[in-house]
Amino acid sequence: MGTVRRRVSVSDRLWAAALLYPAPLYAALLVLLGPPGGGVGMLVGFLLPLGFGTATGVGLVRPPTWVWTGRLLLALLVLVPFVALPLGNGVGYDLAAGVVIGSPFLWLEYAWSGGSSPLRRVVALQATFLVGIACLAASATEPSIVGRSGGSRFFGALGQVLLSQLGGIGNVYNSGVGAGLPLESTFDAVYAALGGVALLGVVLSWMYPHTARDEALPWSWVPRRAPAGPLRPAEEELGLRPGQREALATRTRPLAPDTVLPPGFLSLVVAVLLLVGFVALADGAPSFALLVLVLGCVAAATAVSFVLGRHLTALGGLEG
Amino acid sequence: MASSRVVLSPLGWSVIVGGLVALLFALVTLNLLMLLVPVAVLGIVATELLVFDRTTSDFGPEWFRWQRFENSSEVRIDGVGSMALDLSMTERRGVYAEVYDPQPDSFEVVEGSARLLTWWPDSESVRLAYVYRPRARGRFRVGPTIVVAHDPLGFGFRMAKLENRWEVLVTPALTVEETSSIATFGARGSSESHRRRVGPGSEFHALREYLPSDDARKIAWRRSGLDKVYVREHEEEVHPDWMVLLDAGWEMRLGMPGTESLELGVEGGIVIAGQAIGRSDRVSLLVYSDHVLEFVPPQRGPPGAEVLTQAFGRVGLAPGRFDLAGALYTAQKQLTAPTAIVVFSSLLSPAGMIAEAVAAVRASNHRLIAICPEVATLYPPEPDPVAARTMEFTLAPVEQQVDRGVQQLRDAGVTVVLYPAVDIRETAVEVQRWVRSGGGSP
Repeated sequence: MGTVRRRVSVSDRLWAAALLYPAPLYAALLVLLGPPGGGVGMLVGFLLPLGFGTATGVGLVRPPTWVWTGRLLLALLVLVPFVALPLGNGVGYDLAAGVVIGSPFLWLEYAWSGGSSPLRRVVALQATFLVGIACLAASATEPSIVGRSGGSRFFGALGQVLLSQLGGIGNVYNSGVGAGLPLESTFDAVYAALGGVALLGVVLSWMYPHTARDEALPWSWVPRRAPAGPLRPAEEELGLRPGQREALATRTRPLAPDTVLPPGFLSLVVAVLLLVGFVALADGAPSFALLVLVLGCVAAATAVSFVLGRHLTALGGLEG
Repeated sequence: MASSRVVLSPLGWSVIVGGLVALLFALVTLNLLMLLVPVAVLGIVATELLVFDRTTSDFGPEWFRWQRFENSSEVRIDGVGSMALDLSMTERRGVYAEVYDPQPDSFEVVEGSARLLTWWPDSESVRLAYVYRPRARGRFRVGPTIVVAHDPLGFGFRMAKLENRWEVLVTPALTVEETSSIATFGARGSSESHRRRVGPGSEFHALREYLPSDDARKIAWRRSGLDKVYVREHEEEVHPDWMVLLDAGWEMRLGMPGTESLELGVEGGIVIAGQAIGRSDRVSLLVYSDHVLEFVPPQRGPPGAEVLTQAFGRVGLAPGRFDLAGALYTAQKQLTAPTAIVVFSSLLSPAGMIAEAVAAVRASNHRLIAICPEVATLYPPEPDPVAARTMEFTLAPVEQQVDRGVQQLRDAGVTVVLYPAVDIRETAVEVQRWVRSGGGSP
């Protein structure tokens, strides 16, 4: 496959990383510099996952054993204070809070590395948003624990946010009233804008998983087949006739589309229109927007199922 | 117009599941930012699939015109074959397409590629060309070519099958081969001795002193001196017609794939045919299970070698038990001159009235010899003692059955040679040498 060659899966996705990093960085800095004020301990705790996650993402730390050992140690750093230290011990809780705030960077690489499937990318992005919004909500909540370290107060506030959210969801199911949902009401315009940029980074990296023009296909994350063999005989050794040699020499090589519009452009336009419409609707009539979302999902699922469910009959006619 | 259905690719599944998981996250938080992710992801997938379905609704073989060229229809097993295919699209629509020309597992593509994944602009043709090396003998089918149209983002695809099958006959390599002397197989089971007589043959035997009755053309001038004159002695050779009688019954599947009894029989048969044709003998081939599968009348010279090579290439297993008696009667009917009949069979259960058939064959001045693989050597040795014992235990009844078949033939006066599977070529050469020197005479 002449022009399709194996590429390093990370280096050409740096632009996607550049679009993804600002949102979680912004949320983390807002929390670190916000009211709880964790000090140096929290900052160090934040820098640990940021540094380690970035190192694994760009390939400085590659062996899986090291990667998972590092992640385990960071998880222990969060859990140990709750198990071993009395509530309010400053440095331990500050470090743990910093690690939680920086935790999205531990899996953010899945949203931008070349070998990740769209499933991993979307889930990594959504999990990043979830942690960011939870941290923002916690920083805006006055914890019931007072006079302790910044880390302890952060965890106290985070616990209150999560409990309130769960209680609010229970209310929605029981009485249909959506009040008292702290994660729903958390909205920071800058964070939302940076989140939109991050979403664009993930979506575009499917559509342009390559930066070079010689890549024929847009879905290059699919694992490539191994080459046929290292030793290929020379054509003259095969004893081919001139016609056969000419056919081989003139066989078609993978070709990139020579079109003005990129592949999937129409789908991208439709998706952007859907997003704009949904945001406008959510701003004006949130309940109606939710209803439209549910109905839209059902309609899309029905249409796609209809397309996928058709099949040929034994006689070759279309069925269904 | 009939069309194949749209199928979700792994990428499509991945995006949809990712979108649904994101939707679950979003519904837990009900945060606007988190709702945007599934809306965007699922919106793109749904739009892409619906548009792809619409634009390729009539996708099928009718979209294409094709032509195979520079294709090999007969390939020697030690050679290479070539396959080339031109495809052009009748519809004026560009698609991302994967073109694949399926070929049997035993073909190894050594140059070019049987697969092409490309953007296919409208009104342009695509050429697929590759060279393959066959690893097994027989009749194989290449194609039908499959064209898969992907949507631009790779979420789904449609398939079209182009009915352009191509048949390739892979023939064994018919070679003339002489091997160094091998211990005579008489010690391995034949009761007849290895007989050679000195006489007017073509194979050099020794030098001896000149006698007045000798033909002067036989004098070895380079070895002779003023005091003594030597003449060359040659072995007396018999130049019989040959028939390779190949058991193609179901029981010839005994052994490992690729080296089963049938393949060993073909290999041995091709050695005998090659040697015989190299010596200007006539060779015929009878492939038999419980009926005649193929009969090639006696052949001679390069054209005969070509006919036999193709016939050996076509040999395949047939359902049914080997009817040795029926095969021998058929051979007797077809052969007009005294012939050495070499039977390649597993002798698992030779059916029919064998003694009578053998007697009839001998009465027609044909010679008969059967070559049968040693069952234990048809399988690779097991390094593990337990596995080796298990294999021994499993093969024991088969070996007993073969022993009974061998004994049945020997009782009828047939020379039966048992050979280790790896020595089939050497055995065939030695059998031929033995028969040529007069062995197996009625």
